[in-house]
Amino acid sequence: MIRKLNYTDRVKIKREDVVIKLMTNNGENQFDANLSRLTNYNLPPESLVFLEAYRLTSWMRFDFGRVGKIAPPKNPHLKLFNIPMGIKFRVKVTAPGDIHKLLAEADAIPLITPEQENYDNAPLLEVMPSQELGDEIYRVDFSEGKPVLLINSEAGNYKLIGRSPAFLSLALPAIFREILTRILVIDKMADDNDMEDWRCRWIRFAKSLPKTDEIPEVDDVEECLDWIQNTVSMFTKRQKLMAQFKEFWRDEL
Amino acid sequence: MKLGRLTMLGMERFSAFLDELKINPAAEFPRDLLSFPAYFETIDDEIEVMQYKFKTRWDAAKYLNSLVSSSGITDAERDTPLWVGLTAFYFDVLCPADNTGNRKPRERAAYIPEPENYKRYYRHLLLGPYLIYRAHSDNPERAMGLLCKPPHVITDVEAQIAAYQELITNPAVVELVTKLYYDPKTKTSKPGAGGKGPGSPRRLVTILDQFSLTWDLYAASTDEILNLLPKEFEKFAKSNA
Repeated sequence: MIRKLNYTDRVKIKREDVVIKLMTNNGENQFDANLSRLTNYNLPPESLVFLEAYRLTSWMRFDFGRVGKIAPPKNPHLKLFNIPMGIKFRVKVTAPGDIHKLLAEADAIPLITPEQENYDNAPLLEVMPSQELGDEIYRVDFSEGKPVLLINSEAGNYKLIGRSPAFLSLALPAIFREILTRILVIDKMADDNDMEDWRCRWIRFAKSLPKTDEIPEVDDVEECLDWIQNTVSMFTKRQKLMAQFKEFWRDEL
Repeated sequence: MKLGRLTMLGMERFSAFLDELKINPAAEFPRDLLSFPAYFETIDDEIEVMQYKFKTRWDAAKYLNSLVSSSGITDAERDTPLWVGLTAFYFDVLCPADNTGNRKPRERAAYIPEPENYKRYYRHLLLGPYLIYRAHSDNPERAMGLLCKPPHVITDVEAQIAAYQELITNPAVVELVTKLYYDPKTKTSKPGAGGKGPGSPRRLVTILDQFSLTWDLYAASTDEILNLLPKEFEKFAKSNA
């Protein structure tokens, strides 16, 4: 893998610190961007702020004034994009003057549609009890067109099992890995645009984890498996699963 | 042919033909694909698609851009059945047969587009040049360095640049690529533009990728970027003089 060197101490803006929502005005697709959290990054107040919208070869750039005085454009019309699906955004903060030095950046920020706001409130993984698992404690079932976590109700209260540190620490990484493998390796899907598609919602979730690289080409199985492994590692770290396991394991001794 | 798109059945028929072509390079193109109503539906009776023998991808893109603009189709870039219909219409240009009647098909993405995949969309032999041309419609000659080859040929220059959204949408970068690798006298790529060594498009992408971490390349001019490039690019830059 080619190593990229950050010689200039460029700041990476977290995607979650930039919220961009779709608005419709007289039939025109417009956006409303909240960049107020840029002030948390200790950037020089006179730095210039730009927002870029893009999809494939379409690209638009909007001037947002300066870090110290964010000034949204008067016309946030996404005129090059007939439909909003798949539009991503990039925020750039550059030094004033002619050298265009990049001070901070966030890329691949999704456009949140009103429908997606609703989907964001829905759980990614539904958990259901099952009496048909035999001696299996759990199973990820894809037969309903989306993953459902089945927990063997013969083993005990499925809700308590599903919340227990023992189950979470041991089963959750495997569940996450199985779902990502289904999406990338079996379905060969790497898109995160259609929030009605459960796979897009999972990909978006995976990409929201810290230090997650770009998804490789889906035809390159080995690269995809490496990406999945890395993503699962980030997930376990964020969920602090080792701490949960130690808690459970100490209790058992 | 009237402007139209393949139906689901038509898409399956075309896909089956591509499969057959892999096994039998002399497989006959299904001529009923564009005439049988179950396979093809007309979008606009008043728009006739002409059977041009495009010399270059740029010529094809220019024509397709005017065709799509006049059609009023709102989401052309994602209209897969439209592009597959056009691919079928121009199949002899996009996958020409040799003297013995055999064709050498490229990968599937060359004939059935993948518009959702930003790393592979450009591999479609019609959608790719159309999107590049459209992105630079204010000055399409700027993209000549990418689109100067025959319609069925994707050069390394185009493949390298088009796979990077930040590069293909940047007018200064695309102009730089044409300046470096296109010879306006011969109207084709300069010798060595397809290599992998010093000064090659691959090196250019690696270097621009690194530059993009330091500078806002959208705010830079072609000459500003050119002046930042290392000496290895001089042989291509100087051959313009």
